[in-house]
Amino acid sequence: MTGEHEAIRFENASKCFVTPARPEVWALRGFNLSCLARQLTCVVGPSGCGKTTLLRLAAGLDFPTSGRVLMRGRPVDGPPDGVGLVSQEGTLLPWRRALANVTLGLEIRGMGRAERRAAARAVLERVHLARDVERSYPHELSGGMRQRLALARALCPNPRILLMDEPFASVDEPTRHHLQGDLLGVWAADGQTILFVTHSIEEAVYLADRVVVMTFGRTVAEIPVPLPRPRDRLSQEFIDLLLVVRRAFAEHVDEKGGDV
Amino acid sequence: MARTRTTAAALFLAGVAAAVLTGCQGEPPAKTDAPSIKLGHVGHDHHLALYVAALEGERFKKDYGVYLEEVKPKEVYDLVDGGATLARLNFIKVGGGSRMPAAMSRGEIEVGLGGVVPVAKFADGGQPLKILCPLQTDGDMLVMQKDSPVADWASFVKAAKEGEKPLTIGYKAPVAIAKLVFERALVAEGIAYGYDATDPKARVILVNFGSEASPIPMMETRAIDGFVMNQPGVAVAVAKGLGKVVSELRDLPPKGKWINHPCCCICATEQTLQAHRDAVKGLLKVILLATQLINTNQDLAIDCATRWTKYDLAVEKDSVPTITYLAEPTDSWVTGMKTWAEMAKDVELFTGKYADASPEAFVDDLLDLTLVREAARELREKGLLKAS
Amino acid sequence: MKAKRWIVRVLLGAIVPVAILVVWHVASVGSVVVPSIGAVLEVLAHPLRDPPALDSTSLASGALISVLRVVCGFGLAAVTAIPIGLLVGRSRGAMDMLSPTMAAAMVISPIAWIPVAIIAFGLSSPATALYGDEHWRFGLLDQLRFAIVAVIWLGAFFPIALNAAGGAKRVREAHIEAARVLGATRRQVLAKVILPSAAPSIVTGLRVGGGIAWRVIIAAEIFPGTRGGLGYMIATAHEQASYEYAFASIIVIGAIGLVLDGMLRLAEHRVGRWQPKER
Repeated sequence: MTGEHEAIRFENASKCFVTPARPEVWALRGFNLSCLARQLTCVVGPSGCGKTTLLRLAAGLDFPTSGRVLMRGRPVDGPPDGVGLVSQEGTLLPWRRALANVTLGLEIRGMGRAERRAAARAVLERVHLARDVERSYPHELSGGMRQRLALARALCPNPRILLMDEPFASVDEPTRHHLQGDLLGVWAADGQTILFVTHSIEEAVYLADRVVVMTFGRTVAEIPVPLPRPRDRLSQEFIDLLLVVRRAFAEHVDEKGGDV
Repeated sequence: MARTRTTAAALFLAGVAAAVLTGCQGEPPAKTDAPSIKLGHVGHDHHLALYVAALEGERFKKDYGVYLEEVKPKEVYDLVDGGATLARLNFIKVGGGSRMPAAMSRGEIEVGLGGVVPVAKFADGGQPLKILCPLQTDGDMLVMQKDSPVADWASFVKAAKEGEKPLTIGYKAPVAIAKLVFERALVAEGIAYGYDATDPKARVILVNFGSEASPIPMMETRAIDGFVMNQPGVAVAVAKGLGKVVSELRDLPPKGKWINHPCCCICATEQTLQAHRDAVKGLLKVILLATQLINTNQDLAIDCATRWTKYDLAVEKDSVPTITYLAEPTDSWVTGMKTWAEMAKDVELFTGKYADASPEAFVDDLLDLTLVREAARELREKGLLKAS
Repeated sequence: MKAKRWIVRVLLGAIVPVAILVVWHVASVGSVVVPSIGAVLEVLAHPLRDPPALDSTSLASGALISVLRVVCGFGLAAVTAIPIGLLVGRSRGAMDMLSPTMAAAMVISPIAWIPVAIIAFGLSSPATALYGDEHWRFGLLDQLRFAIVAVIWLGAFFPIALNAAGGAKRVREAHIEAARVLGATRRQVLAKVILPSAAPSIVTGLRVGGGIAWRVIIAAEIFPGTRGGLGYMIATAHEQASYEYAFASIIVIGAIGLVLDGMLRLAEHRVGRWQPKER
């Protein structure tokens, strides 16, 4: 099996929400996307365009109203094996200390205590979290440390696919840059397929092999990013690609910002 | 974490040890094939005959050959007659008033010692209960505050009729015998009474101090001017310096009506009588002999009363002599039961099968005295029971 | 300086108890109902002695019996209320079905259920169930009357269940989803997310339920046929006008209640230590 096989596929996926306030809200409308294995794809779009919904469908936490989602060739009918999810914030279990949060996935699989603690410590090192935060509760850590912890928890069970929902949105810029660097380091070593959702065009261009622009529940543009890594944010090529994506954004997102 | 586990383990072990220790009773008593009979009682000296029999088992064994052998003090006794164990009796302190017949109707006891009126009330409601014999009569008093100018019934009547304020008198329970007799006496004297302190016509206000509580707190705070109650509650109030006896209720008007008024009795379900006839008869023999002993050896009776009930010796010395212990039914007692029937009709106490029954029919239906008479006869044939 | 502050704290804390003792002493002079402090201390000083002037077992024995009854009733309540509460909190159907009844039953004092418990259980106990007519041999088991335990269970059940339901309802979906994505089964979600998340609420419910259970025991022990227990001792002391036993029992009840509450408070603190403190 080559690295070219398809890891994630959305086929005409649509998702409709019915709420008391608004009878029909189409978060996704005929959404199509294919992510190859080992590829880092960033989906960028304005708030409310369906980015989170598409990740939830991929993670098996919700199901499409029509169309389908396939992970490694199999239709998603629940949380699939080998998939990790990192959300924006607030999914660390607050009653578990840092190390216990990271070992959660391995604990669920029934791995022995010593083994899973060793694995967790190794992952914590990879995301540059110091050993002395092991016994801290999440609320005792800074925002950046919490996101590293969330990343470590997702990585610990060695997932082949990582789904990331604006994971660095809530931290300051310098910390965000560090976290992006850590993510790229992990990805370079492990080669997972990453589907990364963000509202930051700059972040998308910095990270992705390919940027998908999304609005109103569908893809409107796919822009490859052939720049070598590590990328220089101040280089002309980077800035040019930023402009391309911004232009695509501006063309397809309406003046009101694309809020649905 | 380790420390918490250790603490929890230590506590658990302590609990187990305590359970074992309190459950252990040294050498376990022998098992028996004799039937088990649950016997309900109150725990005060109206049921003294039972306690004398229980505490004086050795004496009964030596003198009479029919006795109670202690298996577990105050709880389990074997009823033995002529060397044969007739039954293993489980003593259950169910409490007074309606509690005993209620427990019997739920099947928790098979034989009960308690007031005749609650038993009659339950029988009226359809429970198949029979009164087998009396236990005692009298032993109810009117008590007033120690410093009250009321010294006797006549001065009570005067105070009630002419006093500035109505007199407040406490009672134990709505169907307590003392209260029922007292009410009839008030009616006989033409004294209006009520339960509502705001009733302008009432010259005597009756206040329920609760059947489990005692009149002592209300007497101390002077919330009541006096109370009517059975012994030993009366003796306790007097011993504590909170009251004085102004009249025995047996002496209240209508004159003579309340002499030897029935109070406590022994009753059983029809089912128990059929299933355990010999055992019940054996029990009645023991009660008859104990009653005889009480009436011939009052010092022993008082000693047994204080040993069992744990009331002060002074209280029992005051209480026991005022109670007429009677186990073999007399004509006077049966007449007293008929008086109850009439009085119950007056106050519409019965709403079931006795509602329209004549006193004779009431007595015929409720009493089953054949067994106690048989027991008395057998004891007399052996020279153990004196002539009545 | 630290010692001085400590002394001040102790002195301040002593003001109310000393005032109570003074009032007590004054009230006891010439009173029958209010026993002297000395008489009560005499009873407390001999906890293992069978009271000479009361038809009851010893104070220590009574305390043990009452505690065991409460532990049984409370334990049963915890074991039944927590799962039911969690179910009500997590299942719309269960909530619709059970919540109104639970809310209504919660406001009924457990003491009101005493006559129902008597009718339902009578004098039965684990000893009567296991040993029939020989039940009286097993003193302590025989004392754990089902009727009493049932009333305690009723008193403790509803606050535990309702708090567990509230805690379960407040579990964040994001936490559950995080566990599900990591491969957790429903059972694992319950054990690793719902229970720990709801634990502070559950323990609060246990604390409230425990307090009610301990308060209820006093009334519940005045059942016909009961022997022993602190509530029984108080009732008998009233009946026999031996008020020093009633007061001594009340003091022991208060002390045990404090200890029980203290233990649950400690549990509350430990279980909730992951929660950020308010600044």
